[in-house]
Amino acid sequence: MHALPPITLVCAPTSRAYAYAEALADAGAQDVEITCYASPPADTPLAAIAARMGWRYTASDAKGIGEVPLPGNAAALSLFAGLPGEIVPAATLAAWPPMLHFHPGDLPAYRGSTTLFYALLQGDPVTVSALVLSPDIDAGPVLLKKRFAHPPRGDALNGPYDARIRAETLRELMEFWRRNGCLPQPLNCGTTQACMYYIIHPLLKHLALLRVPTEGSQP
Amino acid sequence: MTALYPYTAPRAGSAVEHYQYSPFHGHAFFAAWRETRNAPLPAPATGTPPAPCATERTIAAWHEALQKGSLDASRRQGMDALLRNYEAKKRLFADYEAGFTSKGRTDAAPLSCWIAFASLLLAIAQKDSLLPPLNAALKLHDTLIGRAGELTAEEQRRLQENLAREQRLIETLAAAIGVEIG
Repeated sequence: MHALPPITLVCAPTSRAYAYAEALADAGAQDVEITCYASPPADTPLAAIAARMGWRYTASDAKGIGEVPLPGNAAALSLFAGLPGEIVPAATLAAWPPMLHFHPGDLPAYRGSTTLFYALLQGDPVTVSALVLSPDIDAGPVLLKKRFAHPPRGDALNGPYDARIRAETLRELMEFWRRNGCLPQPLNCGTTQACMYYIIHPLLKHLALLRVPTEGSQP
Repeated sequence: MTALYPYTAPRAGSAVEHYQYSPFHGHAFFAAWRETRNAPLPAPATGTPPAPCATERTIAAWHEALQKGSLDASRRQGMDALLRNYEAKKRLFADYEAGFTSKGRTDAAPLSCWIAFASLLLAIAQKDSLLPPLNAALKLHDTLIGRAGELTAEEQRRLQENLAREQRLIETLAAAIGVEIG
């Protein structure tokens, strides 16, 4: 088994960031720096997780990731859990270590926002794609895809389910590293015609959520 | 506008609806949506509407091409770029920079252009069964309903025609996926 590399989790204080931090802890990550921007509260669970694990933790008043200083550790990887709808500037991507993102959609078919709902609406499996961010939205190399059972019917999906499936995919990626000492080679995603999706209208969202089978279907 | 469907509420100044994290209300939401689409419109505005802006003329040309067959790659690219800009800003401008970018622009398109864009999006959604155009048309209609008092009688007629098409498309989609919307 291989040790996990030094990782910087750069994040806003969101439930997704907490789920990522817990996934890193579960995976046995030891050299982790959490940089939390957007003025996190002093009692954020991220600080508590860092203290529990002996990780470095920095709080920042930066309003977006583009204002966050480079990490202090010699991180091999960075992990992004930003504000809703936040896009990482190209200059940040160029300066930071390779930045991982967990997108709740099957790439390249489902690029953009709220793709989880669009997949449900079109009867496609719930899929999270692990990718390395690039300046074009959801267009970086895809390292891994993981499918999940459909959520319970009527679940609003905005919080726990979304955070959980992304964090479980992070956990699987870390397990790959522990077995192989590196990230997976990018997947060959073929030439599927990409479609860009934008924040789903509440009407389509209701159709998606009410389409979900009463009993969670298998991936 | 209803308590369950606040998206057609008129917004002051530069405020726009972003639709992030919209709450789930179950089946009752469908009746609330229909209520906003079928409610009587206020008295129309009087006066002569402005001449079509550059954006509306472009949209009209795309719509004509679509009715004759389909959008070619160049028009499709332009259409996708305009859709992207609209979804980012939730606004339409009377004209755009190259590639339908709008940095620094303040020349809002008249509401007639919004109706024309929604009509084109509905036509694409119907023809190609694509969700992003239908998604944007729903948002355009929310804004237009909130500002219906600014529309002329002819513009209100076009809006009502769009709203009827929107409802038919949603009914077809709901039937196809087995969701009862009443």
